[in-house]
Amino acid sequence: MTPDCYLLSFRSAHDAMKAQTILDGKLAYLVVPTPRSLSGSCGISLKIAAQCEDALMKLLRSGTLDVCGPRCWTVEGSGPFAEYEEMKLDAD
Amino acid sequence: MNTVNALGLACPTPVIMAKKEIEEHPGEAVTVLVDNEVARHNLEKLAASLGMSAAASGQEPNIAVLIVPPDSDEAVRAGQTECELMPASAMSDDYVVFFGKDIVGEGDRELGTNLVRMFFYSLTETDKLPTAIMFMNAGVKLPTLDDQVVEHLKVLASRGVRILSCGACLDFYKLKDQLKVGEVSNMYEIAQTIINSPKEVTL
Repeated sequence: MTPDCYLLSFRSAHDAMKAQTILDGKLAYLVVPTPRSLSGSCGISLKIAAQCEDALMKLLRSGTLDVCGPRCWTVEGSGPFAEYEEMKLDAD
Repeated sequence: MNTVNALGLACPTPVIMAKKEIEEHPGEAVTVLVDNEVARHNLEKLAASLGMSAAASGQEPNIAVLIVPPDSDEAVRAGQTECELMPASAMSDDYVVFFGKDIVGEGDRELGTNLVRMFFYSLTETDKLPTAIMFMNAGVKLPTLDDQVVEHLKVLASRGVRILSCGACLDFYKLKDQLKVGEVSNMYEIAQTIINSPKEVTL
């Protein structure tokens, strides 16, 4: 089932900003606060629309974003009731 | 009847003249003569910001804007305590947000841009929305040039939040034709909005 959207979280704010530089022009994203329920990540996350799934998966599998060490989450619902599940990706 | 002839005068002069006349004749109606729609619109905003009503007649280049004070019942007011005379808004938890720059805080600009985007996203997810968000100086770059912030502001506007951008600032940064959400405002309206709000948040 397709999630409502995807979320990329990062270890540090620098990684989150580096990821934006890489994604600019390649993939649309929104800068959003990291949900409180996702521990172990910095406060800046990137929200990706479900329609961009193919492009996101391609970028993640190609290793383009590896330098920023993102964690990718599927998101169901929105606001305080959203549910997050971490994705495990197989490299190409 | 008090009449202000502001024909041929560019904004904000008609608004300034009207405000002066209103202040000098409290409780009285004032008619302001202007020659363009922008001035008419700004006078209507002035009236609203002062809790007065405005009615315009005529068309460019001869427009008359009648600004009328609200009906008042002095007898009832005289019997009220000072506390009861406070506007309802003063006792509510309403608040407004003021942005005088296009980032949050001082320091790293890139981080500040991320923070401002996250702030507006967070606002879209809260139940307690501000009554107005105002942008001045470099803050007007947000409702014009930042697509992410614009999207969040559109959501907020659709939920009843007023988005006000300083016209002089838009002019200064040559962004007047790039405003993507909300309305062009002026110092009087923004100042009045802040004054009338029990709480103001500046970022």
